[in-house]
Amino acid sequence: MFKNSFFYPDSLEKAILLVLILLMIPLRQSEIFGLMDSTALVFGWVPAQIAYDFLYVTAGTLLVVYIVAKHASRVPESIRELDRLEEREGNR
Amino acid sequence: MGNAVVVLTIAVAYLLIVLVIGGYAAARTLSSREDFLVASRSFGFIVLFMALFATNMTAVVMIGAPGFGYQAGVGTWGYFGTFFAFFMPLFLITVAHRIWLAGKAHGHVTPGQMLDHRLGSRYFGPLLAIIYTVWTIPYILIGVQGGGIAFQSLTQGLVPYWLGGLIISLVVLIYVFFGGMRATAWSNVFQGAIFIVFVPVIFIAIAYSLGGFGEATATTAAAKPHLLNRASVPPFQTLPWLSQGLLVALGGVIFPHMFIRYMTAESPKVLNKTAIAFPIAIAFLWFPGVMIGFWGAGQLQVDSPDFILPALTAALFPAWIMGLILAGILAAIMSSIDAQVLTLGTMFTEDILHKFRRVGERWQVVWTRIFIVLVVAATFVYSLLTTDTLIDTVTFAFSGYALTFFPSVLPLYWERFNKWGAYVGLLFGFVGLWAFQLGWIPESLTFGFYPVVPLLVVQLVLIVITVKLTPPAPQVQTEQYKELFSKVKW
Repeated sequence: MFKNSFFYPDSLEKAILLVLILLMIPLRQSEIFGLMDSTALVFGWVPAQIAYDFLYVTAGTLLVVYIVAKHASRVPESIRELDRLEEREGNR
Repeated sequence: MGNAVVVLTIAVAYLLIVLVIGGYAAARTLSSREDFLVASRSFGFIVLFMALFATNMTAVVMIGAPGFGYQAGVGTWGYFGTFFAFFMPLFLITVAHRIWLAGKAHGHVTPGQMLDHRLGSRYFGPLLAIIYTVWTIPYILIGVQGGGIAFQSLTQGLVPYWLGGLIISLVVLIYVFFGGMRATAWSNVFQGAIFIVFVPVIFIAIAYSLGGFGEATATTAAAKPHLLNRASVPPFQTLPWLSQGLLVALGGVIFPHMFIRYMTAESPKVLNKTAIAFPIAIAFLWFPGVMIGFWGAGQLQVDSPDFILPALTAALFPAWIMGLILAGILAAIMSSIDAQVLTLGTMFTEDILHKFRRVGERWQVVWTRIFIVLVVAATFVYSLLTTDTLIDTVTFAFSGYALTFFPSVLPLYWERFNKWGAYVGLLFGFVGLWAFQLGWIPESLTFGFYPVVPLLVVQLVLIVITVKLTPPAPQVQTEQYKELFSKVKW
């Protein structure tokens, strides 16, 4: 169903990336790390919950940046190819 | 009164700048449908990023984040935005690429047009347009209400609620009416820049005024220690927390006004760059926004949590900063309303009117403008009558959008997908959500989640069963899209 997309990995590296992205869903639950009732402060002023949220978004962002940089979909010669397709449709 | 005049002067200056930008864009907008509705698919990185970002942030960042941070504490950011922050980029580099390609190849400008073409259906597009309209009208309404309240409170009644709402409505109407997509996007660049710069600056200024970061946090921690974590906040418990993350992520990427803007990119590379910048910008706004509200809880008591930011700045800073606050709030509100209004006008013309009546290209633009005027007028009048609260309406509308996710996205990936699966999924989601809302389905069937979660699961199962039991979409379209998407190399 999802062939030729991020959701249908065709290499070990891409499979690992997909698993990491899926892992981000449960990892958003900060109670996994005992933060549900934490009153700790990071750097003396950032409550642990929002510090974790910041860390979580940073990790997710780095993951996505890596995916974009190394594996984002390529649309080769997009404009020219699409223009050709439009011409073909126009001729029908 | 003197302070109120200063605040109003700064707000008027902001509105004039927006009108000048809108007028400049309008002067460069052609009367063709493609240019008015999707700016000839010409947006580069800065414009597309700011258009998507500013549109997506709404008043929630400037009003809702500090407000909920004040009321519920530091879990606010995790509850609303952390999963969405990088689900959105992932969506941009996967699904949005296909949306862009299909729009470019076939000249689509709305989700309904694209899906009708892909599925060989006649009525799915109009149905989707109607359902999107149902979820979008309350959203626009919240913006008009928020603008009216902000004007009234920050000018100390010099501009009453009704006049504030009217001013926002008229300014948005003028630049959307004349400049279409280009005017909304260019205005969004300015509006987005205002709150990207403004929120971190005001965050540091407030901390400094409260005696430093440590002192500001210590004061709230001593007065209201329950705001330091999620333990005592009902929506922050495990299942509601998970539900909210999913519904914001799925709903936030499939807004019709976002869907249409994916098609305005100059190239897929622009979508890739936007994917990288998006979560960084979100982190820069949400973290300070929530912390401001959290700090405010240790300093002040306000009647409505949504007004902690104006109240805190009024207590700490001179009037000109209050004026900047009002400008920032207006920027956040207007950058969403303009896109939503234009999108409803576009969907009405393209998915409903043009579908059933032969309308020339010039008249399509005229009809879009007429519908834009009607939408703005209707929401302004409704804003004078309603008493709905922001958070409830937003969560309900997000759930509605999230339940259009599978019927809208699966056709772009699943070759076997057909119109029957799309109809069943869309109608089930819409009716199911209202059934929970009206109490026709007992709350116990949510199993502790928000209703959207069980609805999404059952919706997906129903879609799969329906698609398997009914004939596939017409071969011609399926092959066309297969060939088109084969150009995307992953």
